Amino acid sequence: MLFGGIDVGSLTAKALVLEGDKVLGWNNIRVLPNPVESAKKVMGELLEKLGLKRDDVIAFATGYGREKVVEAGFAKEHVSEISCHAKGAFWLNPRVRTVIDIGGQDAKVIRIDERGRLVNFVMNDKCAAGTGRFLEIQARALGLKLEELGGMTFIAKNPVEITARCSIFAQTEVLHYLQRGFSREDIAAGVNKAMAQRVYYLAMRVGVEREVALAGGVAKNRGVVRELEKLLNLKFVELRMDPQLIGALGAAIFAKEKYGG
Amino acid sequence: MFLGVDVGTGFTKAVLWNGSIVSFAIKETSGDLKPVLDSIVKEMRGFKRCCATGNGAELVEFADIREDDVTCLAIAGRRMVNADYVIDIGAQSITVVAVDEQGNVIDYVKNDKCAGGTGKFLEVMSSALGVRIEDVDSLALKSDKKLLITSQCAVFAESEVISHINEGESRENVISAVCDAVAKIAVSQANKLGISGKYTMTGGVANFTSITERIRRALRADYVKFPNPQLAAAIGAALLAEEL
Repeated sequence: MLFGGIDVGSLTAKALVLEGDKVLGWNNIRVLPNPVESAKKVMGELLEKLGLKRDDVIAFATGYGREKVVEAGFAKEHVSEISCHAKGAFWLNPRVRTVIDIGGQDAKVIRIDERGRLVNFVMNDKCAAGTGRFLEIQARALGLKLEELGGMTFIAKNPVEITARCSIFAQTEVLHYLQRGFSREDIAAGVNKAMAQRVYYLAMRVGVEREVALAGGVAKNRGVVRELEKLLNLKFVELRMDPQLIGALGAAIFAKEKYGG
Repeated sequence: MFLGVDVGTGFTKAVLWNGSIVSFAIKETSGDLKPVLDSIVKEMRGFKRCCATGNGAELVEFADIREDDVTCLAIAGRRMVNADYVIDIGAQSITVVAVDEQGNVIDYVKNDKCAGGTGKFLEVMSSALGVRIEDVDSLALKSDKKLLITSQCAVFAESEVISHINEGESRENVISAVCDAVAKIAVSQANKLGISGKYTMTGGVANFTSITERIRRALRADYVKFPNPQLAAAIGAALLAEEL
């Protein structure tokens, strides 16, 4: 039997299929307006690529609208994103005790014990500061692609300071810096640093124990990653997997543990 | 005559005062404030003393004194409309002030860390809707269906606005929900102080009756209208310049 995970986020939807302890394949798409449609498309494309039928895979759903994904028959059960990220990261590296997951519209810091069980977590989904949206807004103000933002930290000479916590006020600051002739590299580096600081404050609320793993799309921004490592005074562990897929992986492992005998 | 200058994050306001308003100016606060302030001095000659307030008060070189905006709002609220409370919604802040009989500050709450419910919030939502800010009131009046915007965060609220539009809701109904959201945030700030007696509303957002009406419905206290609400802090500054 094969096991699958579907993780519908605010900006992207991910699917993954496991055979035993091996990842057979995965898929990552921009979300459609409806989480059920996103789930159908992301898993449908993956099954087609792998030459599989829907009945070949027992899938669990996580993320936005996961209950609806189950109701619509695209997944057998649903599990919270917190549990899935803890499960996925621990499965990839059992030394992990903290998972920092930064998604498009939320940020979570999850503490797990030596057996991979959830100990505590803290989550921000009320304010865009410290989420992917913060970066998206500032990148747009700077006329940069989201993928270009991270690298700016490494070529900036004098990163600016972004003082506002609020994403909207920070955008005003970014525009003022541009008007005053600061370079895009220096402003972008300041944005990455500000982003890291907001995640750092969130992490301090629950505490951080090594090893620490990063999950979610923002983990692909090298500038934020480096600034966050400096603030936490540690190096993140490698998970040998695209950080955006950890939630879907966790969901697939839950399915395997429950129905894999 | 006395001059009050309020350098806000959105607009710079100036009031020339001689027992009542002699003249006033409202100019956009730009990156380079010098030409804005120069034109104010030129237009408002003959003042004896000047008091500056607002975020950019330090930049007003010709000011004799500087006072924080909370103090200015308090005295303006008491002297102009005899208010016990002032709810001020500016471009980037919401301030609620409790005022004593003399116009001094008893207590206040201020949020200038989050765009939720501020003028900026209204600006972001109307721009997402493709609605001019001056049309907010007239459109909100035409609403015939109650929609909900639950986020206080301007970024997340903007996503909610876009979802409503994608689901085919009318601009009138969405803008009305935006006004509900602004009012709700202002009311929750006001409730931190607990409003009783007479209150007034000031700041640029108080010009939107669709919002002041909603706040009035939610607060059980006597409302008194502030004439020219955007000038409140500048008037208070002029009054403080006079008293010195």
